[in-house]
Amino acid sequence: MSKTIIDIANDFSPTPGLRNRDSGPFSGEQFREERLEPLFKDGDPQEKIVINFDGGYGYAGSFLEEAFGGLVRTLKRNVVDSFEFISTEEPLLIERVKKYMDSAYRYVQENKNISG
Amino acid sequence: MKKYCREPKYIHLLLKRADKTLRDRQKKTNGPQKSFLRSLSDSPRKEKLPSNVRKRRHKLQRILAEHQSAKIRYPHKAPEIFTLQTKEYAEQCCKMFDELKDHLEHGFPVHLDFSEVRHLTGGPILYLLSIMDIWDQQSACDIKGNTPANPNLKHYFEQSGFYDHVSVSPLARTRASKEDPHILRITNGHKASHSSPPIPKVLDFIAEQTGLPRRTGTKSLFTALAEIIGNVLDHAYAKQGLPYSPTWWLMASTSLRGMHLVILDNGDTIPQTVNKRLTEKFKSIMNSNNSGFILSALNGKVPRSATKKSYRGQGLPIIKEMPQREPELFEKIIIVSGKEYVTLVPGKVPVTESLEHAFFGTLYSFDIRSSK
Repeated sequence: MSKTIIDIANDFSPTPGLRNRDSGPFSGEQFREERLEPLFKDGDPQEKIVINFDGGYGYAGSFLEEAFGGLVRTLKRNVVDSFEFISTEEPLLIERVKKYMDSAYRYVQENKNISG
Repeated sequence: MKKYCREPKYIHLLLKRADKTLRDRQKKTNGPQKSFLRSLSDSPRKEKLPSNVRKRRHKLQRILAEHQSAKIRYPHKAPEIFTLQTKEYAEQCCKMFDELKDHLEHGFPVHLDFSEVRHLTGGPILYLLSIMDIWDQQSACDIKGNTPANPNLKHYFEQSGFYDHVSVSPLARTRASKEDPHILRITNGHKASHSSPPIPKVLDFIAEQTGLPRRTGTKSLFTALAEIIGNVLDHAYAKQGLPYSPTWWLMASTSLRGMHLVILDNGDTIPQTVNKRLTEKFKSIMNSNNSGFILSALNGKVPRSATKKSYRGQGLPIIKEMPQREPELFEKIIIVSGKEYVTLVPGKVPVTESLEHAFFGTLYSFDIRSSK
């Protein structure tokens, strides 16, 4: 099974920015819209998406939340199983990203219940 | 009494009192019920100033003008331990800056005396620049001053980059322009320019000075800086119509045990911008009691993001965890905002203290251990 690999430091920026485009370049919103959402254009991808967090300066929580949590809110389903995360330099980052995706899914569920 | 009346502070008090007398007289004449009954189209009755109040007011204004034209400088002596690194010293600093703000607000020329300073850190230097910047944007402020008599502190003050942001004599500027490899000179920026602090430059400097591996050793610092900048852009600068353009300031320098990094912004404070419950809003208005909001935002249990979205407000909890997760890197983190002073130390629970004199804006100070 082939994999789609996204090396954030090399393919996007070694200094990812903040949450929204308004707050500067290389935001989580930009990453989600340009790199992640196209992969889900035709439904869940058949191949695993490998996200490599190593090599850059680091990540703001708001970048990660908007990119991955925002993806769950946009698609309205938890797509954590479509990803494989690599972060040898900051192992706790993977746990945090998964937490953001789970929280976003809970947020989607809660809002669905309210609107339904 | 006459002698005291000539002190500008008293002049302002007397001017205020004269205005209050006039307002009280107007209230008595019009009365709240009368003005309520009056048609909205009616112009309010203009009360002529009583001659004695008018004469007194003119006299006081004349004395004030005399003082301003004579360029009498009001001395402000910096505390011997000029730092924000402990609550006790921060209180002294904030008191001095409060008095300074008071004089600048009234347009008085001031003289800053740093000669007896025995200990100096970056926080007060950034705070001074921030205050000067606010009042300079509103009305040109006239500040003169000296440097610490201690040669090491004088060198630190000059090399901090303070002179890059104020107008000084060419000689002082030349002396201060020689770069010290142990100090990352002060940088600043406004939201309007969409500039952000040169985080990679700061992190490379810290890595070089502390012996940490470049990029991999400073990842959590990147996260901290990015979270802080995010908070500044999203919350501190959110309010529109401020009479000045809010600015952030940053400085880093080596210290005895590693590095000292300070970031300051002069926008709205954290206690002002956090999302409050209705009862908290009421208490905050009634008692000016804003204590505990930073700690609550750091804990992240109650949604404190001003956006009111449950998935926001994750930045401060990440900063709170840093000294616990990486005690070998973070010696101490201090957050000063409004009247709250929070200390984060590895292995200890966060401590919140109340300041008597509010800090204008928010300051984050990081003491980073050297691995050399």
